[in-house]
Amino acid sequence: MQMRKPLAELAREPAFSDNVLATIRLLARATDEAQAVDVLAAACEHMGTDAAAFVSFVRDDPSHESFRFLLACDPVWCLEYERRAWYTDDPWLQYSLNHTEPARGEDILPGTAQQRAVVELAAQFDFMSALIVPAPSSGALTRMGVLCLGSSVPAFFNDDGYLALKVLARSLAMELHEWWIARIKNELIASARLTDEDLTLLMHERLGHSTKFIASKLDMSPNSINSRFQRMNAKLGVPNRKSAAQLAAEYGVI
Amino acid sequence: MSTTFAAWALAHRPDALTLRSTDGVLAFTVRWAACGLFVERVLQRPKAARVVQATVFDTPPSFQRWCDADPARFEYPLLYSKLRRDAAELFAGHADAQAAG
Repeated sequence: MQMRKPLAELAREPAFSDNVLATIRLLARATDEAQAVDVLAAACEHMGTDAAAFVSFVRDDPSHESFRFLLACDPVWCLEYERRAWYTDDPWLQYSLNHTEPARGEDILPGTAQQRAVVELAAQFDFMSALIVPAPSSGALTRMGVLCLGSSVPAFFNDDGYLALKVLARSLAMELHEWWIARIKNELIASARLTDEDLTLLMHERLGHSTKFIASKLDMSPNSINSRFQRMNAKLGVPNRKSAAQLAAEYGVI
Repeated sequence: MSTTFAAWALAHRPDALTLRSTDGVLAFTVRWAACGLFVERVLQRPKAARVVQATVFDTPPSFQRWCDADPARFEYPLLYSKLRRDAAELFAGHADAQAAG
C-alpha cells in the first residue's frame, strides 16, 4: 500500500505553490459550474487533499436563503447533509459567519449534539480532517462563501505545511467566491430580464425611498410604481420589494 | 416567510437537459462536460432554503450510486427514472464518441 505524503513534505516540493496557483488562475476562464468544479478538483489534488466543497450562501435573510454547493468530493455527503437540513446547524458554517481566518476543523468545537453529528458525517466522506476557509463579502452584503478542504488522513493539516496551504486555500476561496458572484449576477440579469428602469427602482428601494418619493422622482403615479415592483418581485421570485433590492445588491446588480 | 421558486435560478441552457418535478420543488440540469457528466440539482422546499448542488461524475456507477442515495427518488420516481435514462444516454454517447476516436 502506497504511503500518503504528509502535507509538510508536499508543501516543500518546489512546484507545490506554483501548481496550485496556476490551477486557481484557470478559474478566470471558467464559464460554467462544470469548469469551476473541475478547477476545484484539480486544486484539491495539487494541495494533496482528498475532498473539497465550496458553498456560497446568503445569511440572515430568509426571503431568499440559498445554498449553492460546488462539490469536488463524494456528492452523497451533500445529499445526507441536505436531507437533515444541517446547513443551519453546521459548526463550520457558523464559524465562517463570524470569522475571516481559516481554521482547522478540530479547532472549531461543536457546541451541540447536532453539530457533532455534522462533523461526524463529514468524516465519513473524506473530511476526517478539515480546513475551513471563510470567504466573506464586504459591507452590508450577506452573501458569503466557505471552502472546506478535507483529508481522509487524521490531523493532515497539523504539520509544518499548514501555513503554506492556508495561503493557497485562502486564495482559492476568495477566487471561487468572486467567480460565483459574477456568475450569479450575469444569470440574474439575463434570466430575470431586468431593465434599466427596474434597476433604477431597485436602487431607490435600496436607499429606503418611499413609493411617493420614487413616483415624484420618476414622474409616475404611485400605483404605477407599485405595479412595477410587483412585476419585478415575480420575475425575481421574491415576496416583496425589500427582498428584491436586497437580492439585487447581494448579486452586485445594483 | 415563504420562498417562491425563482425562474432565474434555473437559467435555460441550450446545451443542457433540464428536468423538473411537476410541483417545481426539484429540478436537475444535466449535460456532458469536458471532465464528465455535469449534474446540477436544485431543491426548493416550501419555507426552506433553496439548495443547489453542482458536481461532475466521471463514471456511470458513481452517478448511479448518487441517485440511489437520494431520498427524493421516492417522492419523484418518474423524474428519477428520466434522469437515469438521460444520464445513461449521455454516458453512452460519450463512450461512442471516444470509440470512434
